[in-house]
Amino acid sequence: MLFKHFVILSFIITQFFEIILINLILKFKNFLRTIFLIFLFNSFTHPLAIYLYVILSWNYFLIEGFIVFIESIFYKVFFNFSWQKSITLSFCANTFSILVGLFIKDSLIKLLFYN
Amino acid sequence: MIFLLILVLYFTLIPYKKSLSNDISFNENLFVFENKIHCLIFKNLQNLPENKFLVYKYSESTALKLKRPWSIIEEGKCYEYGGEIFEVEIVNGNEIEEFKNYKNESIFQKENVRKIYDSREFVFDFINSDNYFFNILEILPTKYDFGLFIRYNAVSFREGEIKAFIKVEETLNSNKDFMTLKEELEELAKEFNHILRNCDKRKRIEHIINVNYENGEIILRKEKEVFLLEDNKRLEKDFIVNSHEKMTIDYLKLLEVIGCRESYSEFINYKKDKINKIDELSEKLYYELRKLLEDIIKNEYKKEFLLEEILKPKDPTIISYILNYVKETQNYIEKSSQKLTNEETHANKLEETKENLQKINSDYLIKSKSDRILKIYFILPLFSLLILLIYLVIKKK
Repeated sequence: MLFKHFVILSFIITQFFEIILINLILKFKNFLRTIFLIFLFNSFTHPLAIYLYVILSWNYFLIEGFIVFIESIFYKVFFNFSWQKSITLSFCANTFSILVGLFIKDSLIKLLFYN
Repeated sequence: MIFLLILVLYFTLIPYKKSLSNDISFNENLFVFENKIHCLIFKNLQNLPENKFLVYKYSESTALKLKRPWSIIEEGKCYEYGGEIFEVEIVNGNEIEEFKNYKNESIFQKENVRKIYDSREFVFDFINSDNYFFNILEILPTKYDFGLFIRYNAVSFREGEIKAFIKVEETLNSNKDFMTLKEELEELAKEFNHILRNCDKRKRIEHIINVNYENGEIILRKEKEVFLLEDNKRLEKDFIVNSHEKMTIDYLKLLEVIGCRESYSEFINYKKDKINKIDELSEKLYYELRKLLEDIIKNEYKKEFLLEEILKPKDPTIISYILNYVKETQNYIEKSSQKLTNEETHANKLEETKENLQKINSDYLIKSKSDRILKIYFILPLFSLLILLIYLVIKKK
């Protein structure tokens, strides 16, 4: 599997699962607005994370912390949540997408690459 | 001189008239050929801004031979090796005229004249170059692309990666399959390089002589010295080569331009077994290498990067493009040897071939869409931030 495929795939996984999780937590209130905003948040942070990891070789956990921090600000500013709620949401969403990504990555590689 | 002119006319007028047998014209140009030379062919000149042009300054010996020190570069034309390339910015508007005067060499000292050191964007680096090994691998229909440790050894690494690099190098150098693969590829490249030197049929046209038929008389007028390739060997105007992935198509077209298409196709057919052997070895090595990298590199992206640097599966569209190119050439050779009398069928066949090639080309271009997606991906943060800001402003209002 080529690098570009990895990137695009991980971007789609992140978008899909974060949108689902946040909507579940927010009980589908303002559903479309939430999708729109989460999509934009991830569109900003995902390429940034890839850049920091691949090009600048930052530590993986440092990048995740940094992304959680940025997204917390976004939740605070755009959803008017408290800081505590914003950080919790951001942390949950990112952890969830990472775990899902790790879980399905190997089987996807086998499916796409070895066949 | 007159005798020479007649001689030259005799040997050039006949083939040229043949090529124009269907063209009834009262004003024709005669192309006066010189012997085969090694030269640079330019491409992508349309990428230059409108206020810039390129000048080719010949080596001393060439300038003496041509009685001219430099030329304004034109696409598809042939320029003898050993010269220098300059980029000229049009400031006063008379720069082109100045350069066509060929008198004042001090114009190269002007501020708007800049020497180009890296001319890869504009020059085919294929012919007469020492890096033949690099190029032959682009046009071999092998299933894998070869890079680090095979085509080159130098690559920039960060400190933490050097250990992994050394480990991989050591393992590969003690791997029998890898050494065989390397030797086979090197041998193929050398053989092909030898073939290239013999099949190169390029000719340079030294002058254009304008022929006018007026009142039943032929009037010859020698025009300014120009350099042109034969019409049927001139590059297409829309021939744009600007990415690494299109390199194979680039080289195959160039093979055609220099007259090596047939030799190349025969070479590939003749070496089928060797190419199959290379494929088998590469495939085996690829999985061994993947396993080895999994053991020594934990970072998924870095592992993929290094693997891609060394060995990576070639785009299947490229392989089929090469094979189709070879097949079409073989068909053409066979048909030519049969001396087909039905010219219409032949023309249809050529048209069909052209359509097929165009189809493959467009298929290939569609394939490269994922790169565009990646480009969009990396400018996405800017767009998303902009939209978020706009959203915020609207919300506050």
